[in-house]
Amino acid sequence: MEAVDLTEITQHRVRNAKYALAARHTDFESMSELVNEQVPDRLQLLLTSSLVMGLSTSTSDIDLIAVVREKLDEDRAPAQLFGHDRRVDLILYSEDEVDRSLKQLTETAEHDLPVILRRFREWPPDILRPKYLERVINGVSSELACPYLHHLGPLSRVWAIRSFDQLRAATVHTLLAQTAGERRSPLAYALRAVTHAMDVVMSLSGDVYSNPKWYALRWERFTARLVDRSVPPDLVDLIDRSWADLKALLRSGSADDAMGDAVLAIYRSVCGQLAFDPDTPVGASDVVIAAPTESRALSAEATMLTSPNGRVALFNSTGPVPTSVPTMDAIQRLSPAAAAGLLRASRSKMLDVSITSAESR
Amino acid sequence: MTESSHQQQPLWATGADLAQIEFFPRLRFGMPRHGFVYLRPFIVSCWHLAISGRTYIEDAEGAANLPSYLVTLKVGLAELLVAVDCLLQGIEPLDDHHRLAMLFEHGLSEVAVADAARCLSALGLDHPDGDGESEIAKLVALWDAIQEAFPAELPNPLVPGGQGELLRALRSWDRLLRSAEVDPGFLADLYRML
Repeated sequence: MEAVDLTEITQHRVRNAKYALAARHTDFESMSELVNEQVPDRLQLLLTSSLVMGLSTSTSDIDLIAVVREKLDEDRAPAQLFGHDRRVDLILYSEDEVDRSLKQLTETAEHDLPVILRRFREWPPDILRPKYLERVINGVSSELACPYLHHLGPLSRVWAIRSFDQLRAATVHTLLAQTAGERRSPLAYALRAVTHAMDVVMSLSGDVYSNPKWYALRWERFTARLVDRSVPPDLVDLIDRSWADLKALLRSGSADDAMGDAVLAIYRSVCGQLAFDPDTPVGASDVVIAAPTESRALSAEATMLTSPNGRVALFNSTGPVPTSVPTMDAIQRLSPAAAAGLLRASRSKMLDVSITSAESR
Repeated sequence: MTESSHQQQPLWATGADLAQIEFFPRLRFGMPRHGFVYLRPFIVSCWHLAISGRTYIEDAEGAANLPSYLVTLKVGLAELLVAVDCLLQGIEPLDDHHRLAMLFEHGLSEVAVADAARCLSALGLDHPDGDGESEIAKLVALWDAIQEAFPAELPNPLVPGGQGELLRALRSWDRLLRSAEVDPGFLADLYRML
């Protein structure tokens, strides 16, 4: 990630916050008074989410996080307050929880890509969930500062890698679905691939916001003001063209056999940004074939597969059993039956195409 | 992707009359279901519809001049409906990776008897750059139809007094689960995820 100017980002976020609150005929002072009734003694009151990211609409609610000194009950839930004709969601975290979460994030970001992913997937349950940690880091305080923004570097890295794993999975599924001969699902998988590619690129530039519903709008604004010279213009163009093409396909109800190639090209380009080998094996399955007598329990042509994680799935035994997974390029050379088998295994949760799965073998 | 590589045969016909879609047919008909197996997914479905479903519609109502945002909202709502569809079938929801793909290939069966074409049209996914107000009206109409047809009242925590409604629903569900000898522990997890 090219070095970001935290001062400039802070100014931008504070402007967004003030503008968004003013549009709702309120301000930080009023928010503080509202919260005082619930939490009189606090270290920080942060405005978070769409309002500070400059994305809020007329119906967006106000998301606040209060950081307090004392230890809190683990069973707490967000509170919803109503004031100034607006719903205000308030979440409380202790200073200790926030500190431990930031430490976890910093330590995670120091590792290589596969370890980052593994740590993300095994995120400790007794600290802030990643999406709330992101809100804290991006949050604007009632003192008109961004007191946690200096953690943006580690957040960017971890979040970009998390989205990259999603892009990778969507690429695998696009290719499998297309090779298997499915007509509509490749479009759905491609949509997912392209929007996650958008998020990877933005996150690497310090524009991190965890909610997927904002990906496309954020991308539009990000590319309109693009200043990060480390973002390759070719990749931006590729993503833009693919997004436009996908929307055209949705309108026309058409399929496009070149969709998989476009998604694969995006994936390879993003791999370059992360210095990740695009030919890393896709994943592995833990499928165990039931004993022959049991596998034919249903009919002469049906095989019931089981896996150590307790899943079961019915497979047509005339097709191959998905016990091995090729590299990304090899997917398009699979037979339709083999691709269909692998796709079915992934949908049945018997096949994990995450990088963490591949790396563990 | 190029114009010349497009297949000519359309994958779906556009146009769906919401009035022709039957919502929650099996739930309303009455099917033999074991409480021990079915209560938890049913309650989680209620939760998803009451919280996330409402939030998507609320978000959409502010997105008239933001077509990019509307597309991703529609996708999010579609994925939610697929998750609820799986739960009402009594199966585990598909991973996020596959939910939209499921809708695109097969539509819905429990939330609505609607093939892929009808679902895409009802959600407006076949009009990714459609007029904002029309697209929002479409989503609101769909949501109203879902609420109208759902055979239980969904609490609304997004309005004043709504959290009280939600807490009352949670208490009812807790009693229901205990009477069926189902562990109600997951209710606390749902509440924490608000």
